Amino acid sequence: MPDLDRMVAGLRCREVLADLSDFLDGLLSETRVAAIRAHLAECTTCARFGTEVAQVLAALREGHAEVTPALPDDAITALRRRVLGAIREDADTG
Amino acid sequence: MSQADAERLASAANGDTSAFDQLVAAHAEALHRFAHSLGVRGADLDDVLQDAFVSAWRAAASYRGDGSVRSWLLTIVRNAVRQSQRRAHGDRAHWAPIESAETLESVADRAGWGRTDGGPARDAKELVMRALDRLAAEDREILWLREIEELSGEETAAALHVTMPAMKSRLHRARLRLAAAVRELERDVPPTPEQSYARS
Repeated sequence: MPDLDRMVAGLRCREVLADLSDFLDGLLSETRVAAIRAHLAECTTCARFGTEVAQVLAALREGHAEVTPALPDDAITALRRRVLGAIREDADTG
Repeated sequence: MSQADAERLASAANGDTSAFDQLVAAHAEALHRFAHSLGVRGADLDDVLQDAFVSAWRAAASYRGDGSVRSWLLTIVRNAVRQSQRRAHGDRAHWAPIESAETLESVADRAGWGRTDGGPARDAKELVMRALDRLAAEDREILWLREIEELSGEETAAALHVTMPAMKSRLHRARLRLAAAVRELERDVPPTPEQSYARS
């Protein structure tokens, strides 16, 4: 594993790693974003890793609907019936 | 949707069962997926959803509008899942805090930091969803709430009953652990003929 304390463009890889999520979520200041972009421009290790994590997250966002089993209409109908029965009973006794 | 949801919930708080039924119809699918992602299956899944909706009905008047109705319902489902699993298993280990178990460096190492052999390439969506299933429940829930339900940071922190800094720290590690799980799955899966050809 390469050295996380390697300094590139004024930032250590360790600092970039710690800020990766906030960077991807757009939560950092403009100054910090510029510093990280400068690091990424010269550090292929961090650039590659950040891209890979971003790809995994994109696949998660896109993949869940295809992979998670959908709730069939009749199951939704049955659930609504059960919930309605329970809350009407609740309303009557409450 | 959000404003309509809030109005339906306000009506439900005044005893309007029909308005509440519309909320159930609107959110059942998403709540089902969330509970499923936390490992609840079969009849337990039906029970958890019913318990959660009945809890929501009883608590309707307590909704303050700090987050969306959807995030409020997801929080209730999350609590119902935990209660159900504790009843069934007395399962502290399953939900044990995991932040301190592994340093950020070691998670990053498992996730492939510093490696040059590329990331998930083949059937990435299916692979990532299988990787999600490998994670601890605490990782799965935060990834589901933030990445899939797209709750705000504040809504996610509220749903998990943690501070914003704690939520951000947990989210960061969960993301890296997901990337690590993808890599681990990649190692288990033989390459496709196309990939074998490309690597030769």
